[in-house]
Amino acid sequence: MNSSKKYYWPIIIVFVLLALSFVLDMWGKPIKIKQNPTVDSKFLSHDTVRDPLVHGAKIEQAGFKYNCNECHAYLQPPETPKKLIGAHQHIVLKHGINDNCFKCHHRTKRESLVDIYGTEVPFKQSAQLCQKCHGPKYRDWKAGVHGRPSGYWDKTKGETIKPTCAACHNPHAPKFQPIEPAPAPAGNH
Amino acid sequence: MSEENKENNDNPLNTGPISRRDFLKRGAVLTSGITAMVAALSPLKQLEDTFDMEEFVQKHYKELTPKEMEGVLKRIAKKVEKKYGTTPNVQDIKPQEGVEFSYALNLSRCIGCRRCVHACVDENNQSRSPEVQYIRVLKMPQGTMDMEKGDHHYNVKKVPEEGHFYMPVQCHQCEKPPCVKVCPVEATWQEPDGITVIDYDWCIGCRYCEAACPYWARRFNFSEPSIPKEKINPNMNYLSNRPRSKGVMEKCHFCLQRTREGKLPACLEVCPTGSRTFGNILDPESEISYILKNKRVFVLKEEAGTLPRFFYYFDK
Repeated sequence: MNSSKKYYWPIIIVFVLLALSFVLDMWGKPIKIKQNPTVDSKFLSHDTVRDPLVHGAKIEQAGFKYNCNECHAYLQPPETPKKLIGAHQHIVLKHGINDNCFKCHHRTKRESLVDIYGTEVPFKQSAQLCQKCHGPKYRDWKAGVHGRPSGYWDKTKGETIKPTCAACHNPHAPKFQPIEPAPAPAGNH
Repeated sequence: MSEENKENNDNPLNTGPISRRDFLKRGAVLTSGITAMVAALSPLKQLEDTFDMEEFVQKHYKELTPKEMEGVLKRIAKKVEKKYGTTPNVQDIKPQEGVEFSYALNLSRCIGCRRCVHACVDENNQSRSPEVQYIRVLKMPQGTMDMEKGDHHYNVKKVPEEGHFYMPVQCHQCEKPPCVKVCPVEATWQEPDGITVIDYDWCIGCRYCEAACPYWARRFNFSEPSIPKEKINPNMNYLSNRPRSKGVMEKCHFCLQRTREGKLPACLEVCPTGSRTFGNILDPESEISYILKNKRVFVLKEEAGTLPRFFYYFDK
């Protein structure tokens, strides 16, 4: 027998194995990419942090809805209440020197607010009340620089929606409260 | 076996008549060899999805005629539909006359909640894994503007934290963009409305622009971007949020697909504190002009001479 002949079969087998290994993609390490969890949709929400109560306060107890006057027709609280009772228990008053209910709430018409001059202000226009003390901020808000706008920057194509003060600030404790941050970068980019 | 055949077998180069057995053996070696070679090239099959002849011969964005552009947009729409299963609305909105975009950010109000980061990812079809994010929110200790002290990996229960302020950094859409200067293939340029854009089909992925940017604003697709099918934003634009491929640069473009239609950018709309202001700086009545007139604004790394269109200010 010829000496080159005995290498035929091993060569064929090596080639076939190689072919198999290439087709099955057995060479090299596959790139492992860490799958990041989907971001919770609450972090993508366009809602303001609170309900501005443009239609006045809604009181709900034991499934019944009340409006303010139903109680306050009979109950007249003192000028500076020592303790907040009933439907007001959840209220935390942290509005600086403005610590008196009747600096903002109307004394007789509970469905309305009142400004420092005694003019009745409906809940819908609460900004008119805030501006009596927070002039510079109101000016900025009017100019569209304070507050969180949405919609259009181009006024010819659509309007810029500007939520009112109470949509972000709780009038009883106006400081913007700390919130949960969205997830940190995964660090695999 | 005859004497003649034996001689032939001894010399493999002899082209004379060979035996049936030898023919089959040599044939088997040859066939298996060719098969192995073809198999070795099999990784090229993966190119089928990424390589597109039409895309390969496509002209530069600025040289495309409107008709050619129409074809390109159709091709992109088809590709997106094939990959993600949604029919996108791919457009090429041109910049408006008399509009130059600018952005302002109130650092006193930003609480570092990172809503902007994720709204941006959602709007602009960035890769989720690996993660590509255009906005980096730096947590900075109060009393310094040294960006070296900033940390964007903070992970806490509630923000803001005591003694810190937060500084979101994204593309500043510079008037003198260093990233544009260094691009060897002119795949990135500044549009008349001030937005520096990238032609993702023209980018060669050399990352010079990433190195040139003093704001770390540019991001590179190191691997094939992956976006969940249900998360794709079908409102797409050629120069902004159409899906990118592996090996191209991307960055913030002020939500071009929204802002060129008059809408506000996604990062601004989602901001719960209203720290962000966007608008046309050429319009003296715009909100952004009001800020530049009335607030003490500053830009990042002024000494770099990049003239950013992104302004920061402190204002309680």
